[in-house]
Amino acid sequence: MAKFSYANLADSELVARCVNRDPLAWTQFVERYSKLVFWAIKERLSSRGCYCSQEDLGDIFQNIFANLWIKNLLKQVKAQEKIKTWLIMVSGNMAIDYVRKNNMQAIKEETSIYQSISERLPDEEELTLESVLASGSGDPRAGASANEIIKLLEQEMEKLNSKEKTILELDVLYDMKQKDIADVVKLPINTVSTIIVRGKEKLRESLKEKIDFLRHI
Amino acid sequence: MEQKDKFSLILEAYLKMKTSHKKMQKTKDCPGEVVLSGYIDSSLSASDEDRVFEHISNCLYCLETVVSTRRSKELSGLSEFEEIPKKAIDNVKELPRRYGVFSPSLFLKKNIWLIFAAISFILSFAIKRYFIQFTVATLILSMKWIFETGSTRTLIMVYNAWRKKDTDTLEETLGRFKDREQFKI
Repeated sequence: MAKFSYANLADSELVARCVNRDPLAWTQFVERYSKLVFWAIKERLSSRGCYCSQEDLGDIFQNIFANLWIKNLLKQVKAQEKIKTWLIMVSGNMAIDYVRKNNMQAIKEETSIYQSISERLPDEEELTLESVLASGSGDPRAGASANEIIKLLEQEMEKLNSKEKTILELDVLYDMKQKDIADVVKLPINTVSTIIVRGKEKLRESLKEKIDFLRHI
Repeated sequence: MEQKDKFSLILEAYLKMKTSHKKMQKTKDCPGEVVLSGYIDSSLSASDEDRVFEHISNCLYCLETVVSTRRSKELSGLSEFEEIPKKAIDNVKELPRRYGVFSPSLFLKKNIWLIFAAISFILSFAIKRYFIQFTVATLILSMKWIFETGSTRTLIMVYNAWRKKDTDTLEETLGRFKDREQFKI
């Protein structure tokens, strides 16, 4: 009979043993996942434009594992063989909460990944409808047309369903690849591609039709 | 970097403006991490998946949690993990020793039938009129507790294997006992 070893346990078995408060399984769990957790903390914080010292990262790391053990959070995981995704998500969220609670660095509630990325580009001028319309057009109506465009786009976006709107947001704001968008919205890549192309074309046409000086866009 | 045309910039500026009004805040309607990670792993039922999608298309907090976790998961396969301070690792390994292994919820889950049996036993004396009924209930609940525990199941397997002279099963079951002994499970 093969010799039993915690190192050879499958993820699901290891997690199940940790849930049942097995200290040896916990040691193995720490060895197996500590690097992933540490990495996930850094990754999530940097994606939100927040950089911490190595010491703070160590505190956050210990806080996460302490929560996992003391509150026995691992018992929440149903698909224990897919622990990795849950662990990355929980580590990221706990890191953000920890930074916020301890006032280590201000993370604005409204800062999305998209905004924090654009804020980190110092040379880039802030993208507003007014600045886009004014750039290079020389048309005096450009500023005044911003409201008109917003109204028009709002009307057109209303016609899209929530899935189509989210797909457009992920494509335009997050600059995600179509394969990744398909994965997030759980649709075939061809469908996503069609929605993006058709959606943009429809919006472009309606802008061209109704606003004279945008005919060339 | 790819040069964007004017229409793309207009659309981007418009969506950015619309998104900036949405708060990046968790609400009581937001699904938990188990559900959201299940959504990323495609392990939810079709109806749950639809419900989660409906939520994330209206909740910036959850959408970003899904997008960033998904991205991190993908990157984690490509990244070289850095070494973590040894002290931090040692501290987290020490958690069971420092905080103990007792978990009230786990104890409750494992011994729920025993607790009911004990309550029924006490009631059999407290309400003498229903002494027999409570005693029978105590017996049933105790039996339930005994059969729910893993060691009893293992004992039955050993007994069955021994009776049928099934040596393979017997060895496998005895191996389970050895593991339990070795690791004090």
